Amino acid sequence: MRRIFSALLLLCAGEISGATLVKYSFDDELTDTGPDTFAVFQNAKGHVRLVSSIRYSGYRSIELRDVAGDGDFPELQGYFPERKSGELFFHFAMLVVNPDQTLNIALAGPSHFTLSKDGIAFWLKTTNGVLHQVSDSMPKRLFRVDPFVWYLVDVRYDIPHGTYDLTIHREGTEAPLVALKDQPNAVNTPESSVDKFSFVGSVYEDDSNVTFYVDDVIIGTDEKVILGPFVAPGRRKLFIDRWREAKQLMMKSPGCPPALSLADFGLKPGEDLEQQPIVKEWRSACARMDAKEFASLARERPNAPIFAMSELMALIRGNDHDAAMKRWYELEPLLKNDVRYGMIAAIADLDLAEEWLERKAPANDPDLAEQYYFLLLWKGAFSRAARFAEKQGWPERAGDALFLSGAPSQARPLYEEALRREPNSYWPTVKLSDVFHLLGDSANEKVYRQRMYGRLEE
Amino acid sequence: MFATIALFLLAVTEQQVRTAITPLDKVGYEEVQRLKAFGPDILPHLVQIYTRSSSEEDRAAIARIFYTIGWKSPEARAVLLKDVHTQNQNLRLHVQWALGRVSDDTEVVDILANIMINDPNALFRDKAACALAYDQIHLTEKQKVRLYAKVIDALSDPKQQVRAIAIQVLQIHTGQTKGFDADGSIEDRGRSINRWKTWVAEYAKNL
Repeated sequence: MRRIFSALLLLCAGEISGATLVKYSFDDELTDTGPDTFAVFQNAKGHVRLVSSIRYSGYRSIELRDVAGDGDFPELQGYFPERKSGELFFHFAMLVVNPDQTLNIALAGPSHFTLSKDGIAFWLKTTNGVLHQVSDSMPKRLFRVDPFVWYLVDVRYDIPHGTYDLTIHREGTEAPLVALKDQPNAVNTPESSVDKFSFVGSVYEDDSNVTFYVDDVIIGTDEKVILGPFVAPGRRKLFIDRWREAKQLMMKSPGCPPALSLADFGLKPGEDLEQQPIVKEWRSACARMDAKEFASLARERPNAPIFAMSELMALIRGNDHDAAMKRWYELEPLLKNDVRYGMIAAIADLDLAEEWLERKAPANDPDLAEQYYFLLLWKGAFSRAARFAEKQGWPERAGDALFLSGAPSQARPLYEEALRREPNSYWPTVKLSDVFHLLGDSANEKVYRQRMYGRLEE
Repeated sequence: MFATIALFLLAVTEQQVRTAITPLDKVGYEEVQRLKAFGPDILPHLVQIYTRSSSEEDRAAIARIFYTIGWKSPEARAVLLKDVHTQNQNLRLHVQWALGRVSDDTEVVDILANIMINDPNALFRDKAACALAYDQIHLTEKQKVRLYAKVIDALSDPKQQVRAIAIQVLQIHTGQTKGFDADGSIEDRGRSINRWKTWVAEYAKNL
């Protein structure tokens, strides 16, 4: 009997001729949580853990157990590179102990697990023992789930059309229980992209005591996708590399600052950047670099911060340093968390760089302190930037400068201090994970990574 | 009298509940979580405190507590319904929002839909739509059909605002507009409304 299903599984895997984005049998060592693998949310009284007592293939599967009324829900949430086109294949095996309890399984995009474009694309859930698919925003009955039976689920999601084929086999039978074609996705919306999956109990109602098992999760595409290697457990790039990437892009952009995401234009993730009139408008304005034009566009488009940033760059390129800096401070509430914000200040003060770097820092002028810090970073004067940030009482920035200088061990106490000031803060935590990875301390790398992404253990 | 005896038998006392929610205007999420830790026995006491309070501002604050707790309570539903047409703006809004979170019946849906469509005050209409969009948390899928049908009916309303808030409710529930534009031509709106009617019929058929 098991051989039949192995054959079916192979057939499904064989259909994935493009690229495999995700493949978890939970038997090997690929159980490191992280931004490029998956996160495990244990939460409250439920749990997500590896088990060997019940599995579909190999020797381990995932057990999810929810507890009603405990105020939260356990979740296995996995990540893969966003897919906006082509077909996506999703395969998994599941076994439910108590099907009368609620569970939810979904594929979603950058808008997360919401009913919206680029939100939930595919959604299965149990209600009173019956498995439903949510298609065209409505739950549609599939079949009554038997306890302790493995079901093999295969989805072929056609992203451009926003439809999917759904096939479900019951363990021990060759004919599919469900064989549906061209089902509208959850919100009946074409081009709804996907980049994550989730297995949970009851999300909102907190009324589920479900226990279920998941095995052999595979996500593939019909297109070739080149995935970079893992540079550290659970991630294909270090968290600190975000800054380096942004700087490279800034250096390549002599006019406007580089656009880093759709959010720069107030667009929702998944929208085709090239087709948006707002993008064409911005590019056209970038050819002129007129600060007044950008200011006017920024007022018209308050949800598109790229115009405000471009206005700043236009003022700088026009050598209107004072106006640029005045505007820089005005825009702080809007842009302060944007990695380009500090870099723009650095570029603005490049002409002062030599003076500042050769003589003393304008540290006594609080208005110039941040600009000076970013200028030092931009010029690669990391040690001075670190000393300056420390003096200013900015431990995370001091840590960043030391980390960028190639001294992760010196960055460590500063990130720890930042974390003491703001416990559970995301960035110092994950940067500490990077630090320990580079220091070869895998135990602490894991501790800090798992604080944000959870852990999957037996 | 039986109600008084029943209150006496509860594991948590009214005084404990009063202490937990005093001062009322300072009760936030954390305070409500501490209150919830006492368990469902807090509800009859809260109902009593609400009923006895002559201050509309205090009742609004307690309605907000009912909202945050989010537990079904026929008694809370009954006392809140008495204030659902008050002209006190603060109390009215908190009652409209709390009702769906203490009840699980379509009568509340009908009342809120009626406010959304017919209330002379545009703010109350708008906030009734909010309640229909976000706060009917205990409805079954079957009961949701009633909600959708009512809101789809509102798409034909002559008032532009009602059409606009109705499509917002549907969009929040379903992620779709089915091409409905509250400012569109009657013909275009009619075509979209037909799509919504087909959709809700299929929704009901699938249950």
